[in-house]
Amino acid sequence: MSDSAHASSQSFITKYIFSTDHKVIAKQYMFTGFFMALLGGFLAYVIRMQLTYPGESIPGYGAINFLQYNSVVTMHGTIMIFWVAMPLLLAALGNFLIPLMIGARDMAFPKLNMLSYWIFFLSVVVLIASFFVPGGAANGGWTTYPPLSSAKYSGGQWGVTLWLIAVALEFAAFLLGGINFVTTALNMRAPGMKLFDMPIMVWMQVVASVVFMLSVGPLIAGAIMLLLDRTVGTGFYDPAQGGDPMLFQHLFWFFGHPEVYVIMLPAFGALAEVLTVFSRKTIFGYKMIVYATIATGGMSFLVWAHHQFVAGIDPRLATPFSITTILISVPVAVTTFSFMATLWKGKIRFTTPMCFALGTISLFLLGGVTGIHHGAPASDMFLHDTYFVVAHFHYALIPQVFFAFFAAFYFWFPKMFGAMFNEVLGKLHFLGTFLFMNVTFLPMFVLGFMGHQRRIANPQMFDTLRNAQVEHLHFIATIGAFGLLLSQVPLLINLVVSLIKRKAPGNNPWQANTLEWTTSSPPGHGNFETQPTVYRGPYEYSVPGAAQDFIPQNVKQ
Amino acid sequence: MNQAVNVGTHSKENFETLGIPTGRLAMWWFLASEIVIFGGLICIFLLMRWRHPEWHAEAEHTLNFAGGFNTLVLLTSSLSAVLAHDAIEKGLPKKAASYLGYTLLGGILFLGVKSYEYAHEIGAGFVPAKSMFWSFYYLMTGLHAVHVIAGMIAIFVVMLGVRKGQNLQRVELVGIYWHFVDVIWIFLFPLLYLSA
Amino acid sequence: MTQESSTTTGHDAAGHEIPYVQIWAWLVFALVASFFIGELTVPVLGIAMIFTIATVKAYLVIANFMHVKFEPKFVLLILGAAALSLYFFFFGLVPDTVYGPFK
Repeated sequence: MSDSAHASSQSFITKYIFSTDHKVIAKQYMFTGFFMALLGGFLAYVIRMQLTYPGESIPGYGAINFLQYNSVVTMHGTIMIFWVAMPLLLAALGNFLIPLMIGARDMAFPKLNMLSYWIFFLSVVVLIASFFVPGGAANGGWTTYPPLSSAKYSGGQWGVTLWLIAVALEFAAFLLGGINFVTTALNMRAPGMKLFDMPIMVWMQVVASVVFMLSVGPLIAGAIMLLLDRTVGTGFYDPAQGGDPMLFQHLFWFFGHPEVYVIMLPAFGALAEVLTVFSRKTIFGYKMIVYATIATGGMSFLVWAHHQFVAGIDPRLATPFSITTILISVPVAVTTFSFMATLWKGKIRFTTPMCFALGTISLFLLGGVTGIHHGAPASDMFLHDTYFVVAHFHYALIPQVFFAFFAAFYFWFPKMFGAMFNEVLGKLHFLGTFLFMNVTFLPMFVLGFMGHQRRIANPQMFDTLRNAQVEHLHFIATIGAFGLLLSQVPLLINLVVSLIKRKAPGNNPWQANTLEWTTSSPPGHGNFETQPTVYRGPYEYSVPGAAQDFIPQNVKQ
Repeated sequence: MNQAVNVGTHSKENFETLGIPTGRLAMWWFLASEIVIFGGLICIFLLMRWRHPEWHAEAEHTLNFAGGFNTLVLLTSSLSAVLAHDAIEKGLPKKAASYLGYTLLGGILFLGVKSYEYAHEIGAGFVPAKSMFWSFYYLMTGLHAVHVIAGMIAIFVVMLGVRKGQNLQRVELVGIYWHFVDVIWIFLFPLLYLSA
Repeated sequence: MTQESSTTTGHDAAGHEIPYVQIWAWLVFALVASFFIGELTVPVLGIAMIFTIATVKAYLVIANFMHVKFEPKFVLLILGAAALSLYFFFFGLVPDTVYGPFK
C-alpha cells in the first residue's frame, strides 16, 4: 500500500516515474499511448504514400521494398490495437477513473499497478527494438498466421520472435491490470455504493477486463507454441509434422474477436458519461445497458470463426458462427439506442467532448452496419481480405479509439490536469478529425468492391487494379490521411497552451454527478479529503423539484 | 451485502463489499486467467490427441512410475501447504513456517524427479522436436514446471515473512496457488503418462 | 454471503473442521488406483476410469484444500466463467482441428 503521509516528501522519481498513484500511472499509460499513436500514424503515412505513388521514394522513409511494406502494415496494425487502443481506452481511462468514480483512495494493489505499467513499458521497448534487428520487424500481418510467421517464410529470424515476446509482455501487463480493475471495483467501493450505483464506465471497464482475462489464455499457449516452432523446431502449426496452421487462426481469433469488445466497451463507457452529462438527463435504461454489456461480453466468446469463413473451415461451422455474429449486434444495438434515447428531448450542450461523443455514435454506426456484410458468409466470400474490410474495421475502431477516447480526454482533462482547455481549438480538432476520417476511409469501401486486396504493396501490378479510378481513390484517401494527421495539431497546441495558462476549472466544471467531480482538480494523493458516502445513482440530472439540475452521488437529501 | 466495514472512516483497510477479502478475490481472478491458459493448452492437446490416435505408441515411453511418484510428492506438499494455513488459523506462525518449508522441499523433490525424467527421455532420443507428442509433453510439463518454480519463490518469500510474523494472510494465498499447480498436475499425469 | 471481519483469514476459523490428512489419504489411494488401472491398459473403459478418478481428485483438492466449499458462491462464478470459456473453445475447435483439412 502506498503511504500517503509522506506524499509531500516524495522525490521526483517516486512521484512521477516509479509512482504507485493510479492517476500518475494513468497518465503514463496515456502518454505512452500517444507516443505509440504517433508511431502508428507515421506507418499509416508510409502505407498511404506507397499505395498512391508505388515505388517512389517516400519523404521521411525512403524507398520501400515489398518485405518492408509487409513489416509496416504488420506493425501499424499491431501498434494501433495493442499499444494505442488498449493503453488509452483500458489502461489510461480505467486507471484514472475506477478509483475516483467509486470513491476509493487508490487501486486495490497500487504496487501491482506500477508493475503492470513497467511491464507494458518493457513491451514497448522490445517492440521498438524489433524495427532495428536484421530482417526488420515482424511481417506476417498483425494476426501473425503461420506459415507467414514461421521461421521459413517470415524473412528475418528476429522480427516475429521479438513481436511474440512484446505481445506476451503486453498481455501480462494487462492481465495484472485487469485483476486490479476487477478487485478494485468489487471490493473498494465507497460506503453506500451498490453495484448498480456504479457509473456505466466502471461497469464497462470491469466487463472488458473480465472478457480479456478469460479469452487471452489459449492465445498465450498458442503464442508459446509458435515461439517453439520458430526456435526449437517443433511442428505445432506445420502440416508436414502433423500440425495444423488453422489451429493458430482459431487460437488467435478466440482472443482476437473478444478483443474487439475489450476495446469497444470502455469506449462506450466514456460515451455513457459524456452523453448523459451534456444531455442533462438521466441515462436511458441504466440496468438494460449493464445487462446488454454483460451479454455482449459473454457472446463475444461465440463469434470468433467469422474471421475464418474463407480460410477453409468446416462449412458446418459457418452457419452457427454467422448466426451468433449477427445476434451479437442485438445487445450492442441496445446500448447504442439507449444512448440515442438519452439524447431525446435533453438540453444538449455542444461542448467539445459532446461533439466527439456524437461523432463516435454516427461513425460507429457505419462501422457496425458494414460488419453485417462480413457476418454473412455469402457476402464475406467476396469481401474478405479486400479494402472493404479495411474500411469496415477502421470505421469501427477509429470512432472508439480516437473519437470516444478524445471525448473522454476532453471531458476529464480538467480533472486530470487541473486546467481548462480551449473550446475553439477543441472544436477545430473535432471538425478536422471527423471530416478527414471520412475522406480517408469512405473511398476504401469502393476500392474493396472493386476487388482491391488488402496488404498488397503495389496495386499497379494487378491488371484489374491498373486504372485511373483506383489511382484516383487512393489519392483521395491519402489526402484524407494527411488531413487526419494535420487535424491533430490543434490538440497538441491545446494541450500545451492550456497547461501553460492553467485556467483553473473548479471541482465540477460540467455540473456532473459522479464522485470524481466532488474532489479537487486534480485530486491530491489519496483522492478524497474525507471518504465520500454514496446516497444515490450516478445519473440524477434535471430531477423535478430539485434546486439544481444535477445531484451528485454523495448528496444526502 | 453492501454494508462496508469501515463506514465513515478513511482507513486503508479494504472494504470487502463482496464478502471476500481483496487479496483472495484477486487470487481467484488470477487463477481464472491461469485456468484459461492451462485449460486452453490442455484443450489443444486433447484435440490433437483425438486427431492422432497413433500417439499412444509414443506415450508409452513416458516414465509412469516417476510421474506417479511426482503426483504423490505434489499431493503431499499440498497437504503441508494447507496445514500451514491451518496453523496460521490456530495462531502458530512458527509451525506454519516449517510446514511451508516442507512444501518447498516437495517442490524441490518434484523438480529433481522431473529433471531426471527429462534427462532420461532426451538421452533416449525423445527430444521436443521428435514428434508432436513430445513437443506437447515438454511444453505442458515445462509450463507446469515454470509455475512450480514461481510458486516456490512465492512460498519462500512468504515463509521468510511468516518467520518474522508478517503478512500472515499471504500463507493462504500462496497455498491456494500451490493447490492450483497441484490440480494442473493431477490432470497432466493421466493425460501424458497413463493414457498410453 | 458469509459475514466476516478482516481480522479472520479463513472460513474454517468460523467453525468448519476439515480433516486434511484424511482427504490426503483418499487422494493417495485414488492415485494408486489410477496408476494400476493405467498399468493394466484396459481400452476405453480404463481411460474413462482414469479421468473420472482425476476429476474426483481435483474436486477433493479444490473443495477442501482450496476451501471453495466455504467460499461465497461468487468464487464459483469466477471459476465457472473460466470453465465456460474453455467449453466454447473446445467444441468450436473440434470440427477443424480433429477432422480438419490439414489432417
